[in-house]
Amino acid sequence: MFVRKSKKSLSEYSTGELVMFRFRKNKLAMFGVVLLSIIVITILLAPLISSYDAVVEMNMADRFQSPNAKYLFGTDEFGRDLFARILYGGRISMFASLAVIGIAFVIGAIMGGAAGYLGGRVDTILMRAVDVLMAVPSVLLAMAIITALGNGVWKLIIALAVSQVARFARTVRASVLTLRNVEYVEAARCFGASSLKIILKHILPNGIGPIIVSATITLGQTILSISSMGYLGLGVASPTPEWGTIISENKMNIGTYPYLGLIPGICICLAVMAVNFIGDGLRDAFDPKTKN
Amino acid sequence: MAVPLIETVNLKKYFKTGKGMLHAVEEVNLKIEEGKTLGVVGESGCGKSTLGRTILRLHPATSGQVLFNGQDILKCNKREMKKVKADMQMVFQDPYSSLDPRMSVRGLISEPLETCGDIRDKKEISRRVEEIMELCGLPANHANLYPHELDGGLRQRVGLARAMTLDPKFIVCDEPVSALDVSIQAQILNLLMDLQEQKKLSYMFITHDLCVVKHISDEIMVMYMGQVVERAKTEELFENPAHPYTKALLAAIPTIDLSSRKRERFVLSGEVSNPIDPEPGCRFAHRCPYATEKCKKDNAVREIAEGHFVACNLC
Amino acid sequence: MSEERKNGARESDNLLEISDLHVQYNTDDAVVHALNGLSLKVKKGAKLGLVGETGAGKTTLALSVLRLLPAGVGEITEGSIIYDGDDLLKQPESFMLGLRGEKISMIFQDPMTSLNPTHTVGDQILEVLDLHFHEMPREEKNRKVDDILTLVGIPPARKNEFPHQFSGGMKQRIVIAMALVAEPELLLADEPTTALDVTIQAQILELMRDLKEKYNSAVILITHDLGVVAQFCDSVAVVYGGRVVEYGTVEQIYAREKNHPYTAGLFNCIPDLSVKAERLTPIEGRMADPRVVAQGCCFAERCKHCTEICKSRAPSAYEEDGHGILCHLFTKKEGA
Repeated sequence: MFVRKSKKSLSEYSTGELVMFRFRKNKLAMFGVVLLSIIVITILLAPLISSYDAVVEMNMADRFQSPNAKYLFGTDEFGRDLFARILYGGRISMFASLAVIGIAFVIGAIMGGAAGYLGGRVDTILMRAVDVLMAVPSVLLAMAIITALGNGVWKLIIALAVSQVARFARTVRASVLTLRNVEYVEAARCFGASSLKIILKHILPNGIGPIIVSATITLGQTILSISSMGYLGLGVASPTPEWGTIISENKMNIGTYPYLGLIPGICICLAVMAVNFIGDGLRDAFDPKTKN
Repeated sequence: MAVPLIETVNLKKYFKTGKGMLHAVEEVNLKIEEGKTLGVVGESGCGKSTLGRTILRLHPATSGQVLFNGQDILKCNKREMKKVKADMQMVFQDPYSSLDPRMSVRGLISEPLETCGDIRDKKEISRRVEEIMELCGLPANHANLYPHELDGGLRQRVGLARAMTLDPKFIVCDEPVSALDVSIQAQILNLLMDLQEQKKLSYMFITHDLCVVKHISDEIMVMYMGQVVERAKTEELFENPAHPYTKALLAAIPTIDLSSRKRERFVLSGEVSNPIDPEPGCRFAHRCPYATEKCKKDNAVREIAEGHFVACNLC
Repeated sequence: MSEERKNGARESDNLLEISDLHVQYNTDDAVVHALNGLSLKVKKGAKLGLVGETGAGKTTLALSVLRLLPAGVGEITEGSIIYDGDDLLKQPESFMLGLRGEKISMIFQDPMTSLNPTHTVGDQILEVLDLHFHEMPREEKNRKVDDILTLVGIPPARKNEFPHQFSGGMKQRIVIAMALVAEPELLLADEPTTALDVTIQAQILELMRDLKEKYNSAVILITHDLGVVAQFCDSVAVVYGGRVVEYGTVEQIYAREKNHPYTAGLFNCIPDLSVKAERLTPIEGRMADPRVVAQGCCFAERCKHCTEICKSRAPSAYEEDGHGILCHLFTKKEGA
């Protein structure tokens, strides 16, 4: 309500810089960034830390070794190095999830954007399609698609992306709908801005908050879904490691050797948590009403 | 008589709704000359905002003509329209929702220039922004602030500045002061009048506040449920209101004049309904104490004095 | 101040007496001082208009009286609110529960959101009676609901309808019915007609006037519209910066002979229907920053007559025939 006694340093920032500035002040979000960076960097550097051979190499002499200096996370019933398996498994978990979100986001945004902005018949047709997708539980849908396509990382990605499109289409449509008739959009139409320009300049930046939050939460869930699918033996099949698959492989021995389940479980948890923190932080940072 | 800057001929705007056709604007004929203000008065839902938006082609008109300098803009193609749009701008009611919260004051004011102005040079644009900000009474150091950091009065100045950047000839002001406090309201009204004098602007001033409309308008048009019930010069309308609805509106204004306190006032009963598939004839008939059978059939517009038009059978 | 309080105690016809009330909102960024020593007296059966702009503290005052300030944020730091002899600030919550809705009721600005969309309007009015009159037999309660609906001009047959089936003006009538069904002694009406059209506003004011006569409740009409006050109220209190800067009868204030510079400014801001003025004279500047408590007069920054003393010392009240003005301009004259 009141004119801020503007510090010069602040008013010199551009919008993007301000968002980053606010984001960086959010401790929880920064914690998420650090955590996610550690996970991603470690995963990226995997070949330097451990060779891929260690992932599949069986060493029956070193079965069920508890975490120690040689085997940082211990070994499983075939004596495979759990650390190496988690490193390489993380690559599949993380990058497959990102790919799923990327694909689902792009398709969903186009569908939702078109439905919301154009309205009328386009809206009806697209949204009924979305309703059909929503009517099937997403895991079931993904399972059905994989069963039809067969196992494989890319097939898993496509299956999960299809099952998430509906969610994105809905979120994007909702934010476009609320913003389409806002007065500042009308004002832009008044001085002759084109629809594309209005969508890119006014609607998208203002509606991005809920979309980003939805994307990050879905990212967390997708990491979980990939793991659950892996656990169920769909998508990524053993011996190719994947966090969910690793738990699944060891499910018979978790009772005796809990670290076999705990370590990959904690990895999944940390990754999901980091992603969620970042999502919340971004949402707050995008809101110009938050304090500087 | 000069050629009017803006003229509408039998302008109609209907909306399709689930319950039927909503006759939001019915056969409106108006003329606004250069440098003049037409006040459009009516209660919520009477179609006054829709009328303003239809004239600016923010809504497609159902039928009729909108003439700008004699040219029918409803027939313009995209390229011609872009030129016309620069000359016709709008100021919105809510200074909160009419400014994109993610853009700084400078960004908001320069956006029209960047979108459709002929100026491409960055320096030229920022010079123009400063000029407009000064014109609208915005301190230069506010250029980098965001809308939420400004109060209602300043925001409305930004909204006005944005409308002014393209140097328009005609501005539709949709309740520009209704959301503001009285002391701020007076500042904005003065600013509007100063700009009009300097730039020879024409306004269509949409409001429900009769005190404000009397202050700023040269001519006033009263609307009821999509129909124009009366149109006259400001003094004429306030001195000789002819239509019963206009009379009721004038009587309902709470004035600061204590002498009107004890007077028995003419309080309208009933409420406005939606003009969905309306019956022919006068839409005010169901609330009008003088309505006859004839009123339910037609209500032709007649000129009862020079420039004083009334759509009522009894006047 | 002590003498004033004694006077107040003697004048038993004061229903509500607020003295030196300070309220602040402790938000994350700053402490916002909403009321800074507001004093106000309301007689039994009075029609008081509380006039002020956004941020003057009008709604805060109403919420303070009902002790409904947002918990943990709004805080009453000083002052007293005496209602019918009881200091409300010292009473337990149970006492307030009995008071709210029964003795003091409130009408909110927005009729669209003050009704629960999932209950019929009849049930919502009945709920007020259920809360406050446990012994009243069912039939009598139902009869009361029918009576009050008839009074506010709604056919009792419609009591089984839901809020969305009514128009804006009708909803405001229902809200008024809810506020009046318990026949309160004091009605706080916070901008009851602002969201309505002029002709509907006239209807509602007419209705409130009639009901006021029937029940003889005291009404505090909170508004920014000097016109509404002129048409409805007997006395006026002008609020600025969390203080009453001027009070008096409608005649005293609307005579426009002797006014606080702020009140005079407000009058000049309104386009007058009877005179054709070329330009309005707005009050320069904007509302004082409520995060800072002014050392002197809260209006000093915007005042045309501001002198050195205005900036350094808060003015004391000047009063003549019950017309009070909080301004150095007047206290000086009196002293001379």
